[in-house]
Amino acid sequence: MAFTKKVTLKSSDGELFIIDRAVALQSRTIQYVLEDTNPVDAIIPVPAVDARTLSKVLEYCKKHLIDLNTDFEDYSKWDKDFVDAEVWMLYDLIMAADYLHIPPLIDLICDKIASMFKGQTPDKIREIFNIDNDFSKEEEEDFKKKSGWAFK
Amino acid sequence: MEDYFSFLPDPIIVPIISYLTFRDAARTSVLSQRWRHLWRSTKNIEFDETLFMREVESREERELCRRDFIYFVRQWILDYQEPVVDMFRLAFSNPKQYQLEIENCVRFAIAHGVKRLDLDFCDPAWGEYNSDEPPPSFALPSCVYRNRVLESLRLSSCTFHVPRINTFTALKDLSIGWSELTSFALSALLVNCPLLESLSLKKCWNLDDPVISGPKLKLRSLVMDKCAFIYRFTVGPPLLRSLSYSGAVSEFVFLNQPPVEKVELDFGLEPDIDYEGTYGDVIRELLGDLKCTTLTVCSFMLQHLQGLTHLTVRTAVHEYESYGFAFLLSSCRRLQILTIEIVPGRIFPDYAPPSELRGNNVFWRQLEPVPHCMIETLRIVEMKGFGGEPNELQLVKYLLRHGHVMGTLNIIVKKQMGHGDADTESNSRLWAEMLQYYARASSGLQILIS
Repeated sequence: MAFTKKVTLKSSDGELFIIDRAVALQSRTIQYVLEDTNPVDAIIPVPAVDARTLSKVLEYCKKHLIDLNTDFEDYSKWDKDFVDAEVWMLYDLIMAADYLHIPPLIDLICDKIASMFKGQTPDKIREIFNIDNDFSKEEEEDFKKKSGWAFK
Repeated sequence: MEDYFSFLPDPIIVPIISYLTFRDAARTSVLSQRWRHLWRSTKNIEFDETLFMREVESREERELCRRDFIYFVRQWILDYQEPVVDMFRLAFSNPKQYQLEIENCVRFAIAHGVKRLDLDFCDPAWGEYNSDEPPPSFALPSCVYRNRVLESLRLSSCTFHVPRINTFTALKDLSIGWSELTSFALSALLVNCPLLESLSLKKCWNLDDPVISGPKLKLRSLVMDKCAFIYRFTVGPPLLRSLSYSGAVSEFVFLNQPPVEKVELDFGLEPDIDYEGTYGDVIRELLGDLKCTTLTVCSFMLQHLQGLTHLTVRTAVHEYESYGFAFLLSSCRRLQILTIEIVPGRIFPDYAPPSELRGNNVFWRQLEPVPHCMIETLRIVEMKGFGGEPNELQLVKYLLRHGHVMGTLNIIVKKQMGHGDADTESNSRLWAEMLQYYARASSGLQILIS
């Protein structure tokens, strides 16, 4: 049996994740750490990401490592299910993906969040994402009028 | 409940906005103070004149709208702060009098390393089914030629000089619409865009005999939409997965074409009624040559399939093919000649027949009603590559039993290549001779074996 190198990641809340090095290398942040220090059996802290989010991110990394040869369609189906999550989870995921620097995962979540804007009125979008409207009614109407082409 | 975005830094929100259409991005500007100007960093820029048009206007008013639009575009570009643009689209009809502004726009996009460029100068008033050539409306600005980063280029009513396109080394997606494009120019284009995966030609003219073929082509998707007029369309990219053709009936030539996944054929543009009765034959040849797993046909084809007089079926005579075969037989009501070429076919193990298959034998015996052509018109049946297999025998038995006007059954026995196979060949011949003794509906039938 081939010997696969392992890497240990530690989430912000102290949980340890022992994973294949190849899986971890999909994160450029971890890749830099490993290249710089090449720690043997060392634990790499991931202070910005909690265990729940980290395990989800690692699920993505594993899937995308194993299935490099899978058909494009299978892949997109899995991705679609992966981001079919609550808004807060997407928010945690995108922060984690940004911190760990995993560009395809960032793209995937951006696309998902953007799809939640599609065809919605500003009021509805504020409701979905709990955006506080700090414009006065008059200001908002004025802006809408100025960008009339976008609100037809 | 907290505002989810309040924790996200701008550099994360901008990519999200860039996934929105330009219009949806602009609509985020009224969400809150923070969102007021974020959308101005979007990497997905689409300037579309039609969004600025108000309804029912005089010509003067329209011209005012157009001027507003151009002013907006100019100002927006001036305010843009980001270093890179992913996608840039400009849709503006009759651009002649705004030549400078348009060139500025395109230069802006190219200077920002745009990957997807879409220039659409066609007038929405030009009808899709109108066959007049619209005037060529705008010359592609010279900064676009010699580009190594463009991945997608869409040009509509925008003329370009093919010999100058020589370095689109990254281009994967090319779409040309409302433009003159000769077959010669097309061939040159294919050579100059070596990575092209998707090609779409819409309402192009003077194509005559386009040849889209070559062993090095990476083309996977090909769309030919209402181009006037194509006489012979040669298709042969080795990796092609999807082919869509819409236009008049033309001759199709498939060069060493491996099976295509999806084929869509629409001859709805054919102006003529089939006076000479040739379309049926063109369609027959087309269907005979076509190798695909999903086929979409149009009403024109369904109506002319009826008029088909000669049908060639390449088949493995597997029981899974029986339903399709029977469907064709009953669809071709005027069929005179049926050629069955027996070839090894790819049989799909997970094929699900429309109803339970209880063996080929039962299928052909129980097939009701007898197809119209077998009673009235089918005179000649040829079977090439006959090997005497049970499925083949059952099919012939069926044709003999119901072919009321059949004059000739021509059996060409499968040739054996290797040594020591002479026995198998004579065995097949023996089976063929046995056919003489099967029940037949036509008294004047001649069975030829060769």
